Amino acid sequence: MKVKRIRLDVVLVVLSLSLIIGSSIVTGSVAAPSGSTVPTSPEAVCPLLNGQKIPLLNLKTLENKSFDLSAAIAKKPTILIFYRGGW
Amino acid sequence: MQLGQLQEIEPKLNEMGYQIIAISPDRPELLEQNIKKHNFTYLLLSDSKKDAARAFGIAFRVDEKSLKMYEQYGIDIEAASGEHDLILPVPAVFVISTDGIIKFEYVNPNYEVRLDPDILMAAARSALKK
Repeated sequence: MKVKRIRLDVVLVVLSLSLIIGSSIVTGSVAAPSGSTVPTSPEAVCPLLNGQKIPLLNLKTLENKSFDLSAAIAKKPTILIFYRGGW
Repeated sequence: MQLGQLQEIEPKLNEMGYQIIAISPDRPELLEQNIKKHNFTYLLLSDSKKDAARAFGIAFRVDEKSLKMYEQYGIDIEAASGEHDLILPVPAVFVISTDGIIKFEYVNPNYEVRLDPDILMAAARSALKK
């Protein structure tokens, strides 16, 4: 029994290693030019989750001025809306 | 949730102490046009580089088929953002407390299925409770 269990462990290690290698190949093929990975379908996104902290970010106002999103959110609770564009 | 529906509940949200910030992939020069077209009363910001969409994990690259469909509708997403990345955000709504923690989120890959304004109101109310 003991021998069998060890073998199972080995199989699992090999499997997980191949998964890691496999997934890195897959993600490598869809990597964005900037180096970050962007999924190629809306169904494949991995959004931040409830309870997670938002990242530090700067956006642009309509006057093309820099806008510190995190600083604004620190002042007031916020409903943040992403939409696809004015078109 | 249609942006028009959001405007209906905006006064209530403001009363509760919330600010509404909308983020668009359009370049800053087009924001004013958007504001007029949709009668936006809340703050509209440009994320033309899609840094925010990426950081929130809702960015995706538009495939050829969808791109052709957009073209048929006369939509040029590259011209709108001024970038050639073909990236769009999945429409999303986040309720965020002042400590920067996400209290509620709605992300739906099917842009036709919108958040019910009643649900947003309930989530916004609940998020204010300690």
